[in-house]
Amino acid sequence: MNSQLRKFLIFSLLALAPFGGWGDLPKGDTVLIPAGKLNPFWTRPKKETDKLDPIQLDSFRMMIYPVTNRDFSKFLRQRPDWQKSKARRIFSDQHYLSHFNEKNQLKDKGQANAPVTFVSWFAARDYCESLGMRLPTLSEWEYVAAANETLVDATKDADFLANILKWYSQPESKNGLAPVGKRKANFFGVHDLHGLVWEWVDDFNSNLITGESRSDGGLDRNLFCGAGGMSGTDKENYAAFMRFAFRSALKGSSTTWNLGFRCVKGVSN
Amino acid sequence: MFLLMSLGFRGIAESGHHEHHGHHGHEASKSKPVESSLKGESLYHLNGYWKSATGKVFDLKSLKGQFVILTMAYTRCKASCPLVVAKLKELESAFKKAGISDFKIVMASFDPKFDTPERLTQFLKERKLDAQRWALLSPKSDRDVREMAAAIGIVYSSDKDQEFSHSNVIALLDTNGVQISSLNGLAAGHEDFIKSAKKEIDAD
Repeated sequence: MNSQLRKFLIFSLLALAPFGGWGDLPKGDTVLIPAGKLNPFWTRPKKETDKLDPIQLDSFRMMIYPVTNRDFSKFLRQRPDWQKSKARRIFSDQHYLSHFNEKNQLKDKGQANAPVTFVSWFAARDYCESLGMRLPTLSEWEYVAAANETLVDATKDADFLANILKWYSQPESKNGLAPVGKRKANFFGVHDLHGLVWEWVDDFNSNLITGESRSDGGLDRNLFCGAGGMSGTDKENYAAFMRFAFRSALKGSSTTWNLGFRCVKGVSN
Repeated sequence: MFLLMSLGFRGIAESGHHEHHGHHGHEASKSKPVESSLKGESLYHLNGYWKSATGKVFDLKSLKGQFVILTMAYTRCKASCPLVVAKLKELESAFKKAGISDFKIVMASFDPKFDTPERLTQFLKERKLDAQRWALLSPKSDRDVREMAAAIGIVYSSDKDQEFSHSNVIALLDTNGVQISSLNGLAAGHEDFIKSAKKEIDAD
């Protein structure tokens, strides 16, 4: 088949999708996140007397919802190398796509609109790149995830933080995950950053924290080289600290039942 | 109908649902099958772009067939990095002492900007490292670094002064490039490395 015709057929199918009843939500939709500043509460200055500069973020577009199982199924058809039986262990651990069968179909069809989980960082990154997108940086993700429905930065809002922590303590449900988009959008118009799944970020492996040293801020020189390390200058934001602890325990091949992702793309000025 | 389709296509393309190929240069090869003789767990499936100290493109697969002691560091580091080299030298002599001769020591740099092949050559000389035994690798971009670190389980970040903070993990790879043991932290003893290597040799 010539590529022109193939493209035409693929896009015809996609164009007809809304009428064909494939799904109820346009999953790849993105929303503009305006440029902004983020206080890097997870780092500490080299000298105690130094002030930390805020991180300046350029504007970017972020997917409104996490990538769903249905979205990821489509990707598996385009990229057989990411199918469950073919993915290489160095890129995805033995739990990769545990909720799919050997034919690369979702075991529970009712989970089609739920966020895809049991996906590794390598898989998530390739997925985003297949759309001309990328994974958000940790700063980008934390910036958008700091917003509640009305505030850009709700990290001082006790209720907001308490709700996140409450969610973190919930065990895995036997009924699987809820569909995306069932909760209200945050200030930026983005859904489900909290309350549904944890999400991969591009630089997930960038935080140096150890169990013993976080209280005194001094890192074990044998384990770590350099001055940076998480100190938790913002002790109230325990929820964020838990995310950093979770991320630091991951490898690029790790997959878990509650870890998904969404993609972003830069905005040319 | 045709118009509707092309409109639909545009809408979907905007929402990010179109395919995009090869916008990253060396990634285009990613979807191609890699040598089937490599085990799925092999680190040599990574196709980051690295250069050796001689300035040649370094294919990780060329390390196949011998043990590899692999870590990541950067040469401008003043804090614990001299200790990393000392630790690697310690491992080098421990392996030789244990009668294991077929192995390489690979130090992949975090620093695409300063750790050029020229700088790495200089570093080999300064530290009196055996260039036959030691391979110092210069990354093309942060992407290559991030990928290798993610695969080995190394955590790192850079600050605005281009200094890197990183965890000290040393990995032992078998002849297939599969990570069979790792040292977390420079205080860790090397007995496990020798034991793991010996076990592999005995199994052959």
